[in-house]
Amino acid sequence: MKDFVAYIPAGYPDLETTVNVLKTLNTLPIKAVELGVPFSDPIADGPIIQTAHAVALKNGVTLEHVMNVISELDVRYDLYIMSYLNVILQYRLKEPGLTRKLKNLHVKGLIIPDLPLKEMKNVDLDFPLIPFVAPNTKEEEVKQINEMDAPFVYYISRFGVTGERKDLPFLDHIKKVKKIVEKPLYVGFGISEPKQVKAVWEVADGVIVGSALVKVLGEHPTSEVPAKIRRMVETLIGK
Amino acid sequence: MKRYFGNYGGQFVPEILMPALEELEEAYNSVLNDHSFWEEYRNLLENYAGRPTPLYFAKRLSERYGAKIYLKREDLLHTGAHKINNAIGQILLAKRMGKRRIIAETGAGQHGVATATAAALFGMECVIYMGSEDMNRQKPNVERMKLLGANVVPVDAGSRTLKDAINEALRDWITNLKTTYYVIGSVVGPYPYPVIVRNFQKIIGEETKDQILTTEKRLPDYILACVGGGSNAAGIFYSFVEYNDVRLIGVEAGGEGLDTGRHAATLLMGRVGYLHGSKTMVLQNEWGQVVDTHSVSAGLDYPGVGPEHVYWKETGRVKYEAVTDEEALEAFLELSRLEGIIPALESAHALAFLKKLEKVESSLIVVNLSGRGDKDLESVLTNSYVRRRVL
Repeated sequence: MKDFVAYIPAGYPDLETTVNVLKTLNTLPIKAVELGVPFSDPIADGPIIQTAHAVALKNGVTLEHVMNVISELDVRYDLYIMSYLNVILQYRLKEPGLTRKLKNLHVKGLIIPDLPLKEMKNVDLDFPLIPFVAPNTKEEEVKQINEMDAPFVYYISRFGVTGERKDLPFLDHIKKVKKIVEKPLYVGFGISEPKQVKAVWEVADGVIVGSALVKVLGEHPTSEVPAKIRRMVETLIGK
Repeated sequence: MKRYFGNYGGQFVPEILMPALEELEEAYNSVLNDHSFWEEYRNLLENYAGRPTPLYFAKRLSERYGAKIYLKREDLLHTGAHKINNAIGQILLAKRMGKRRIIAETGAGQHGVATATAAALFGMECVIYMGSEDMNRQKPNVERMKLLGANVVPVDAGSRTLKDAINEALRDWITNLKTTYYVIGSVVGPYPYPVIVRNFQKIIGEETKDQILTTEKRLPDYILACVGGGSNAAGIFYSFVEYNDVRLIGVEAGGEGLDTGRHAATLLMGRVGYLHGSKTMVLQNEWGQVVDTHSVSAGLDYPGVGPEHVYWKETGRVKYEAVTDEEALEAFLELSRLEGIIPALESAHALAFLKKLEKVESSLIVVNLSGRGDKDLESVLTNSYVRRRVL
């Protein structure tokens, strides 16, 4: 198999379940986890992940909580933090040593959906940022992205927000991008079926699965969630 | 065009929107020197929307305050507010770009009505996103949009007001980039929107300047305008920014009072942050979460503000102030009874600041009457403060 990245929104349905799920994921052959910090206005997310943001916010989950969870975790997969720009930058105002803290926690990078390539230099975050490539990103920008110091490149697989879909419309474009990008190329947005995972693995280095897992987090009693997540991941990777 | 106003503005949106913003910028740049575009725009504003709007000398209001007060009558425009200036401009731009589907957000409903109107005029499909809370308090405008053929989509997320409607419109746009033009209703959002909207609204200030020079042979001492996102204020201020003797005052929604936390006074009480694609002032908590705002006026009930206003505040060129719900309601009643003009609750905030102006006596003052109050009758008449005062 190629790489599998799981998106887990911290604090949904509660922080204890998040920790249990993160431990369960450690027994699976996954490459990385993208740990989400909630934001009040998640414009790149569809209804499933919006709900997760709203519940986690009601639970009072902050970036600080998420870093505490990471500090007590001992896992073999890579960890990334995903949140919107305002959450990250307001926290840095409180805690100027944010990026040093993240490095000490072995966080590999930040995934910020409302921070496009063009603005990255204007926010002066001294930390690896994950660049995005979309089906409409220009080739010269893909080349620029390839020069960045980033652990992987995030390919947004469709025009739309996060959420479960059955199709996979831009395989040819992914192939083209893959020829330019030397870093691992991971494909996300709408990946929710084993067929899609297989198809992506044929053209890129990995998949990122969010909404399909987030739905499982919300659908079952918390005691059953870790086992259900295991089943879901195993199904998706074809085990 | 620069992407920033000083330190504010920019394009903080998902990568997938960047090519669309570039396409918009190119389209706008290509019409900038295209006479036929501006001829069509001006022709529609004149013959369809009703420009120029009068600069009315409000005699009885002036007597009450011992000043010379003029009202810029944007309330007399077709659809009842300044929003139509921008809606017509952007729909013309959408037409040039070959887009057939129009989306927009709306708070008070004025921008939604203006967009639905312009879309009907050009036979375009129109979807309006509106917070379900706003739909409740601005029912007549919801009905109006439906009559005009628009599909009004209720937004139940978050605070169910304007900010959530913008989120949903952005999500729609991300999904339907190829076919869809997003008509933003205020000087907010990612560049180039704050520039485009201000430029379609600056006709308010251009007319005001000509009119006051004709009648008074001089520029005014003060210009007052309400600020939610800030489009009517930017529109009337822009032509006067270079004249330092003209004091420009933007009036925000003080809600139940700035110390109660229940207000929408972003420039006075917010911190610099990132919302809806721009670096601007935001009402937020210490963790960067955008907070719920409150104002009696749906059109001002927004936790962000246009980045150019933040720039004007920082440079000191414009002063920003706030009045409370009750002060705005008082001004709403006052103008109705002194001048026979029922103002929009938004515009009533600008009027309410007349009482708080220093050196009001014998000053020459222009108040931007950005909209009319028909849409507000229900919420005003059921307001307990108003009921105690007049009913």
